[in-house]
Amino acid sequence: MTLGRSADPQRPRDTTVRLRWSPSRLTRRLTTAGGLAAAVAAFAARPGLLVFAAPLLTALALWVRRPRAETLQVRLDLERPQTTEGLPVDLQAHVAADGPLGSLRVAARGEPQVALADHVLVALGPVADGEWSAAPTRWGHWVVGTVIAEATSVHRGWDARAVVQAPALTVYPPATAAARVPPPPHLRARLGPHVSRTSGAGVEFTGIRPYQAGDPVRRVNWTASSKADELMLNEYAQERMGDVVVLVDSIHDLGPAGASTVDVSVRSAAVVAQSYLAVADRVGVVAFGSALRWLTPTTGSRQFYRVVETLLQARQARTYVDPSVDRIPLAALPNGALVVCFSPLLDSVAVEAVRDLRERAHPVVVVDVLTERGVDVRGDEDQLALRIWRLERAAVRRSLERIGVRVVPHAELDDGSLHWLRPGQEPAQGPVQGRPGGVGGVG
Amino acid sequence: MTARSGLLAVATAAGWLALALAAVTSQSTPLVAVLAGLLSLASWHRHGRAVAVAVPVGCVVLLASASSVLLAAAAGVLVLVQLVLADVAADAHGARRAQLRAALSPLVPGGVAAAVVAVLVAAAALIGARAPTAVVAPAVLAGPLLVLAAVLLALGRETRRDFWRMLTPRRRLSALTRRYVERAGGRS
Repeated sequence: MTLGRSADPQRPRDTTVRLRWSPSRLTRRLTTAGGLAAAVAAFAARPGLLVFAAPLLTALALWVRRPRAETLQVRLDLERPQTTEGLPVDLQAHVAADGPLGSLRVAARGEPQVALADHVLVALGPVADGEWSAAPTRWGHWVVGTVIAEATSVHRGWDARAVVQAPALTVYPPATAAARVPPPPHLRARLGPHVSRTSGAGVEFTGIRPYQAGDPVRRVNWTASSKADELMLNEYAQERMGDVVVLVDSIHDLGPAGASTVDVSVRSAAVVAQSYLAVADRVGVVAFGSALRWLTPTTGSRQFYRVVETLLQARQARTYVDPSVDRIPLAALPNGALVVCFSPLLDSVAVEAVRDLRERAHPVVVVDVLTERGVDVRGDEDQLALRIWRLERAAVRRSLERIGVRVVPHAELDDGSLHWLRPGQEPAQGPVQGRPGGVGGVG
Repeated sequence: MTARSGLLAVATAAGWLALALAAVTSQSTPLVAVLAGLLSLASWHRHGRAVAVAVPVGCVVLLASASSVLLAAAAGVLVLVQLVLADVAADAHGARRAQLRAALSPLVPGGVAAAVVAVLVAAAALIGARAPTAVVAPAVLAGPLLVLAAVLLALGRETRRDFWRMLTPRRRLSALTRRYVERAGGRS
């Protein structure tokens, strides 16, 4: 029974557990041996067995005295409350009783998403200190595990067990900024890292033109001016920033834990966000699942953690309301922002959302995160069904490509360069063409 | 050799000695002692606790057909030593000798008392063997049952102490009754 906890939910975490004593291992063994010998002595009339049972039962009667310790103080301290997938975190435990104890065994049991080292700490006394290494295997908000303390009384006649939940751990997906980041197609009229087509006050040389009144004299190209007999001026490209919105479709989550479509989507989305934030672009996020969540694009390293926190919620809330792009405010989807959508393209709602975004003249790149791993094909009918399913998915991809959406299979991604982020070709008749049929329609 | 290994070695030796003493005058096959001795080696493994009572059970089987009371008393004391040391050793991974001494010292008085009781019971059994049968027969039958009942009573009293304590306030007057008694001018 838990009596009280510290006010700080993170670290360190103190828990007081009231001990509920029960007969120990030694008590059960002495009872078994002594009781068996006494019973056989009674039924077989063997005084030798009674003599044999006498010391066992006497010790049992003397050592069965009630233990004095009543509570256990368990102090759990997590090295840090956040980590990245695969990066281990140390969990320290300090267990102390309020009275004398014969021995104290402390073990930790991990959750499926957090692997804990399997070792048991044993101390002959009322205090035990231990440390376990917790290696998270999947991003999300998880409880590290449970710590189990087993106490034995001084005379070893009684055992008690206390189970305490370890602190919560936030696991971020691993995100390393790509070495090369293609500029978004539409750049904003703000100073940024990307070279634009318009001339301005950048550092990228674009050409030479005749001097006009009002031009700064320091940009006069004297070599070219002496050859042309008139003042010539160096021209430089304007450097501007772009807007990138990462959209993660979490309506369906297919595949094994740790490698499901949402897992893959969130990991890749974190890489894209980190890469663009590293070059000082504005990055926002839309978690397009049962619960629609969004984050307004902005710059800075702190934005990465906001983006990841929003992505971590992609798997949590479940509602019966279909998400819709119409509910996303304009600030979260700025005009002309590059939309990178990670989706298995299974739900018509998600496909319609992609079309809707394209109709609003956003350059859109869709990453198809669904793979055929684990598909069990046994007979001819299965083969035929798989073939039809592939055709339907190809039709969906083709319908999106016809309206200028680039669809990239996740297997072809290269997180090192992000060259795949260049949007598709503009349709010949304008940004939007006629909308094809439903999900399975062929455009 | 670590302190835990030494403890386990002493426990195993005590168990084997107990089996040997039980087998000296036993009419059962010595194979019982060999089998129980081999099973007792499982206490060296962390998952081998299920066969921890192999030595006492083997001793009971052997002593059921034995005649020596003094050897039975010695076997009982040795089995007690084996059980206690094996139990402490199970929780002594990485423990130092000083820690083991501290863990075993509270158990010494009880162990000595158990040995004394074993000698007294053995002496009583030897004296009883020379007494008339009419006196001995009921004592042999009632003795073990009385000892077992006393132990179970002690065990039950300790395990249900909270229960008995909880019963105590119920014997007092309830709040309603007390108020009635006060109004009536009686005792409170």
